[in-house]
Amino acid sequence: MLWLVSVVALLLIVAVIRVRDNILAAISLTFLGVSVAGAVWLLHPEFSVAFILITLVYVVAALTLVIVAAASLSEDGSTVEMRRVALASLGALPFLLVPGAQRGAVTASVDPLLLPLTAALLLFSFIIAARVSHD
Amino acid sequence: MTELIFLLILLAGGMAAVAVANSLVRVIIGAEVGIMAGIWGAALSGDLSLVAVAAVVGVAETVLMVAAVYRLAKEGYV
Repeated sequence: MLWLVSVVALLLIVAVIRVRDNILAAISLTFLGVSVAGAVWLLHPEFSVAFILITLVYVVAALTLVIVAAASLSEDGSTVEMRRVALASLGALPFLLVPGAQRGAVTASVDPLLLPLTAALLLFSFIIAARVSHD
Repeated sequence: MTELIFLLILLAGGMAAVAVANSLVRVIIGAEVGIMAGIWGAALSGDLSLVAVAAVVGVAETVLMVAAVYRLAKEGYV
């Protein structure tokens, strides 16, 4: 089933690259996030509840912010043409042949120490964002 | 094997979206695809704590990048 999600993700990335409208690209990004969440669910069914929640929060935040930004900006004519750089990223293909680590035991619980740390990170980033955008 | 192909699709797709971008919003979208590759890589390790950290860092960097784009738009660079 995972290859089906891979094909869907590939199509969505091609849609992001090909489409001309920023808002349509943001919507494609949202569907890509949902497909990644589904792929994690397929990989580890133990992760379903917490991860789906986290990814939905992430996707909604990204969608809101990107759509607001896209609505306030306008496209200019200049295009950054770096297709060769994009093709060079395919040079990572031979790494598929490197043998990876074996699948270990699944830990389906979040360390409680992460909650204050991530809350502090988010608070800090929101404060920095407010200072950057309202200064 | 399919897991690694999916990871490579996300990484190379994000790079490609950044490389052919024609606006800063498109650059942000490419970086988000790269963050999704990070979340998927954390999920491959089988530890939910890593996945949670990757998702929270994704939210934080999204907020910072969009704030930077607002600032650039206000100063007329976009």
